[in-house]
Amino acid sequence: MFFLNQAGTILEMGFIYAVVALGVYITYKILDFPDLSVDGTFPLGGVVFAVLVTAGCPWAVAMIVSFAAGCAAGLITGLLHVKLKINGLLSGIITMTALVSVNYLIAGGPMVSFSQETTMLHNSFVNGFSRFAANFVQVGLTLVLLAVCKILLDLYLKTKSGFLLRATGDNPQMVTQLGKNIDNYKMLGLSLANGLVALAGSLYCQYNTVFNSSMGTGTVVIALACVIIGCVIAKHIRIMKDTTGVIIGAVIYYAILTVAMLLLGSDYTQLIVAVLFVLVLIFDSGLIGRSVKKLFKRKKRPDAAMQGGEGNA
Amino acid sequence: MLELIGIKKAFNRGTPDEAVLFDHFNFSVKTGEFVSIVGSNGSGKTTLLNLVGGSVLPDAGKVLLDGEDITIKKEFIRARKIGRVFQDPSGGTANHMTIAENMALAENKGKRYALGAGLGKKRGEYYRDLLRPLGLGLEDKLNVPVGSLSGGQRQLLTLIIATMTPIDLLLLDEHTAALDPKTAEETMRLTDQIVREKKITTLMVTHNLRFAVEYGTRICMFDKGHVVLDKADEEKENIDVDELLRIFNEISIECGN
Repeated sequence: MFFLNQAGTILEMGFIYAVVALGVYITYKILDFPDLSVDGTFPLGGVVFAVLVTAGCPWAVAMIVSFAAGCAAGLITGLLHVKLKINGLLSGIITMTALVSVNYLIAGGPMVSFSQETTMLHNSFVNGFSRFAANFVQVGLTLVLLAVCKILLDLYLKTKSGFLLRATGDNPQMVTQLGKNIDNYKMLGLSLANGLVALAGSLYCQYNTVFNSSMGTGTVVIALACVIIGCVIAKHIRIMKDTTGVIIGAVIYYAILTVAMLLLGSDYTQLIVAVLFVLVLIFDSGLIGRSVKKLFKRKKRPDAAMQGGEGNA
Repeated sequence: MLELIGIKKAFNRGTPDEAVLFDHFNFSVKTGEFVSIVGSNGSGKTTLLNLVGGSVLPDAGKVLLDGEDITIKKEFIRARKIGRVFQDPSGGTANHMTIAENMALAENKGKRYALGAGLGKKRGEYYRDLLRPLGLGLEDKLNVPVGSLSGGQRQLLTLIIATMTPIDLLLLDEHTAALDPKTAEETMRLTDQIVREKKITTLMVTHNLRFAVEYGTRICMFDKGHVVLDKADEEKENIDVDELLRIFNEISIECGN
């Protein structure tokens, strides 16, 4: 029972962070843009949702507004970068920092609780199940939303506009040669990405039925780890799309994170997140693979020497 | 068709290293001309292409294309009428995208990039027809990422891509310099073929004197921001590589190179 409950939580959180990772996939993999605004837009989506739902707004509308708020924040990062020519990394940091205050002001305090409100993950339909089954119904609902996001993103990337977005990250010069302004596509990508992140933020809050101003800490690192794991998986399985890989990556990452947190306690969460990220990065660079090979080679030699010695004796 | 009037361009302006390249520089190209430009490093060949293409703006003077003043037009806006092939073979294609996707992007140049399907369903045959004359077997690799092609294959693809839609002017920036001699030869032959077929006005910068002599309808030699040799049509026919090399060396000796 405990393990099934944990599995439910892993899947739930994995799917929520998979939505974040889909957004970060757009900026990090497609646009080749290191976007740190994510740490601010994730809680932005949460707080916008929490405040709207508390005020009596239907949850579906609140989620759409959350998405739009994220798009707007991403657009600001984009404007800072392309219009004011601020370095991409710094543009993200500026937006992220500003959003800390913005989120606090929207919330009117460090927390907004809405446990009595009807949301996508807490409603009469979900409550109709036993507590144990309800957990998995929530997972299912989250999966449906995730699938919609993934399919829409996949479809978009196959349109003419999507092609141009991919080319913008791949070779900006080519987009210029096609007579298109790369600035617009960078802003479009950043908007879309942060919209998805904010949408995930609203899901995260719905799951916990509370907005907490500290929920954004570490989002970028978690999402990047999911994207990197996902792309490694997708690279090795030819028919798998990157976006599918990213979703699997998010679930794998959350499973490892959960196990580590169970072993060490939740005080270590951010430390575990950081260490896991380092592991993912060196795994991605192939450093681990090479070290392991070296280790085996080194071990073999003394063995061979020993055997030779025995033979002589 | 293309006119540069009274161009002034200095680098590192306002610093002790200021270097004036062009001072009241004039240059014009007639419709249908294929101009080869040679000259030593720093002679202003590439800067000329950049001034026309829009990646470098002049300090003074005007750039006119088809009578339209494009001096301060942004690079991406000029690109709608100008095609460009760079020295770096990866400069003109998106390497993580497939050949077909690259060609689909190029084919749509000048139109809107909206939410229609990026890859038209029945375009494959058309793309294959365009690639077949290259004789590289690219027509069977439509779904292969461009990044996995060799430099020569990519450069030929870039050439096809740059000329897929109607353009007024083609800029070739040492586009054979990074290729092996055989591929360079092939690229040059194909360039000539495309330029003739589509009757595109072309400006080609090259370090290969033989290409400059053999191809094109006009040859110009640049030195320190001046045109020191300019022969077109019949006059150009009488120039051979030895003659060109002799002039080239004279200039180089004057510079102390």
